[in-house]
Amino acid sequence: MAAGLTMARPEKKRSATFWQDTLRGYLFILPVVLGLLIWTFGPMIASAYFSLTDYRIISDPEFVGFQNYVDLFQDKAFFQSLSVTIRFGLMFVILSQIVGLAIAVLLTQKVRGLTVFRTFFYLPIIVPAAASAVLWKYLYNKDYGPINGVLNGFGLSSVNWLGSPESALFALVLMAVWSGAVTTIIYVAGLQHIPEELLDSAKIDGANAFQRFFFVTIPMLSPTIFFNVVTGVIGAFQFFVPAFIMTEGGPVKATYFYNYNLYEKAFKWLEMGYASAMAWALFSIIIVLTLMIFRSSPLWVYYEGETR
Amino acid sequence: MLSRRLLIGLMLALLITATGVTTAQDEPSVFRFATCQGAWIDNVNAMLVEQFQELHPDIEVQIEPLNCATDLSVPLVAQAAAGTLPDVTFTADLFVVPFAQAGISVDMRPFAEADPDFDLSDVYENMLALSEVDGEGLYMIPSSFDVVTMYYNKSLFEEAGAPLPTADSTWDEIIESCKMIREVTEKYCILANSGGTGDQARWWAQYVPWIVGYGGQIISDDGTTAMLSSPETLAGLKAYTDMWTVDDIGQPFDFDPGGNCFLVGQCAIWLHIPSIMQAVRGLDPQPFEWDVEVIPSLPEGKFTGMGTYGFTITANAQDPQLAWDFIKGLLSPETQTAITLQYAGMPLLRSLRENPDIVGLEGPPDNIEAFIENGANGITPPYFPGECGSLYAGQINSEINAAFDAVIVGGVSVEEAFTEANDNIQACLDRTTSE
Repeated sequence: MAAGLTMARPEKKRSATFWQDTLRGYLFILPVVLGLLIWTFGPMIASAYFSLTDYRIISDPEFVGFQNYVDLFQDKAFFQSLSVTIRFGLMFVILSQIVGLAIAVLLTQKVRGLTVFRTFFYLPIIVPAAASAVLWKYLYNKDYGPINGVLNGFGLSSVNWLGSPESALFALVLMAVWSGAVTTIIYVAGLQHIPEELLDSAKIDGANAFQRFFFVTIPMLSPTIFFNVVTGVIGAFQFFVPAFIMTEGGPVKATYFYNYNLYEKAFKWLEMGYASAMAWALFSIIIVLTLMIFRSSPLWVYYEGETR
Repeated sequence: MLSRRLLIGLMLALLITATGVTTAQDEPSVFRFATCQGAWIDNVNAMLVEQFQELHPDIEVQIEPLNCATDLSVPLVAQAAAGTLPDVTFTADLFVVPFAQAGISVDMRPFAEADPDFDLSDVYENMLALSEVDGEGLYMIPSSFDVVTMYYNKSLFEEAGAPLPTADSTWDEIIESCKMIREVTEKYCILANSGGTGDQARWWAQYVPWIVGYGGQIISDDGTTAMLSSPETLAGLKAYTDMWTVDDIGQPFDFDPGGNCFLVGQCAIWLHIPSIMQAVRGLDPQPFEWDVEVIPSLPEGKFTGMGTYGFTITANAQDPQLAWDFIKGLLSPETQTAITLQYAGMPLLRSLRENPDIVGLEGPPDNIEAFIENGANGITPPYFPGECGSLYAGQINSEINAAFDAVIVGGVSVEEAFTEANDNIQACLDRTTSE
């Protein structure tokens, strides 16, 4: 009896309009899909193949297996550029979080002209990287740069910002922090989403401003910090334009970033196979670092409503 | 209905095919000429186009600007791979070998020898050598007699009470004068930054003569051994870098006087090719007195770098003979004289050596003859086999640049820096020449 009661699944009949809409939808996304396939996945697959070849542009690629990856581990320049990038990344990520958060806190205060301040802090994002590099090169000029002018005004001696191996990397860190207004904007958004009642409750419980900031605001902001740290690390490993325009990897390789090394190998030495291997190594490094940060997140990232 | 469409389609296909056949049979209507832009070359470009259009008035010359501030080999190699090279392209001595190896340029000697209007023997041999690959062929038509000569700020020498350079001066004497200039005027002597940080100091045409002048060389004659760590080469490099690290007469790499150090009167000496006189003459009013002199001598004699830009017919030229008609205009007496009369270079033709218009050119520089006399001291950049680059580009260039940076900026010893560079270059030579 029961078996005889099996109900036939109602057949869904698609109307002609449905299929037309579907087709239209696919047509609309086709340019983006094609763009991704041709301009993103295509080059990625090509570079994966080139990384297994000896390819010098002017001659055909010659398959060499994993030799380029083996060579990476014997290349002093590879480790030198990686070291510069890691040092830069550490300074940049830490400084940009501190500065970004500090400015975001200021930008969420209820003061007159707040939108004007926010616009000012957003401006670095719309300045093209090359233009800001040229601007900062002038600002950092040892002999007539305004930054040294200010230092001299306070009776301090000039700093050879970009000309000295000791200060060049830090100078680029400062510039990168200035350019990282996105961090500030994301912190502003994060701060605005912290429920007022939590802060009010803490206040009623007798927490002072310092305690409210460190025991309420920071934990509530930890997902935002997590996001900014991840994007900051990725951005640090992709840093290139200022080193290319302002220092050309110098002085004495003090700003010889991983990507500058990669650019040099690919477009100055025409070692496209080796440079492709470098690109995939960079991809792997970024993936590993990102995974490490993700894995560490349960220890320090708190999501609202989460119980521990 | 269907047959009507078919008929229209067939007619269209026939029309397209017929047009194609007609075009293929005619000479090209557009001639593609890729070249640099700027005051230093615009007149030469214009003269070539003008001379060509007198011969072929029906052909439109399409100028394709090249970004000559970057490595030209990248876009041209890409065009060669795609088969879309122009008919004629700009080149320079540094690109002669790589462009020939990459199949960008063609050997133009057969065209030159078959052309009754063209006399290759009238061109200075050492300049012609810049256009050869392994001593053969003609892969560039050179533009002018570009030998690096010494421009000096006469006013600074006089202000410091230093003797003016002469044709017999030695580098030791010049260095002594520079020390006086540094002490009295606080100005530097040797210009180091021409367009980038330390680029001029690391220009092969400036430092290789010091190596040769101390009996050294950069690479062995058979091209298999890097010689940067040989005692003679190191002695030359030491003497050269001492101008920065010991004598303090070279412009520091991080010293930016707000423009070209020589042009703004902050450096007393600029080693460069004749066409630079156009820029110095262009200072209006002239802020200081200046002149040129042949290169000072080193222990082994007088040596200076030489090289030039030029043009070449490409492998994709639609009609190579037509391209030859275009390119040969560069070495015509008219073009060569015009280049010189515009202070844009010195003539490459022996027959113009005594040309009264050229000899009688109004100064400054008063000693314009120095450019020609200096030709006897010219050396060309050494050729590196394999794929390690050259003194202009690639790994060899990077290693040497890094070594100069380490010595002059980083305070590393010449021995340490250049031995490391030598080892890296040797490793590359071993790897790529064995392949």
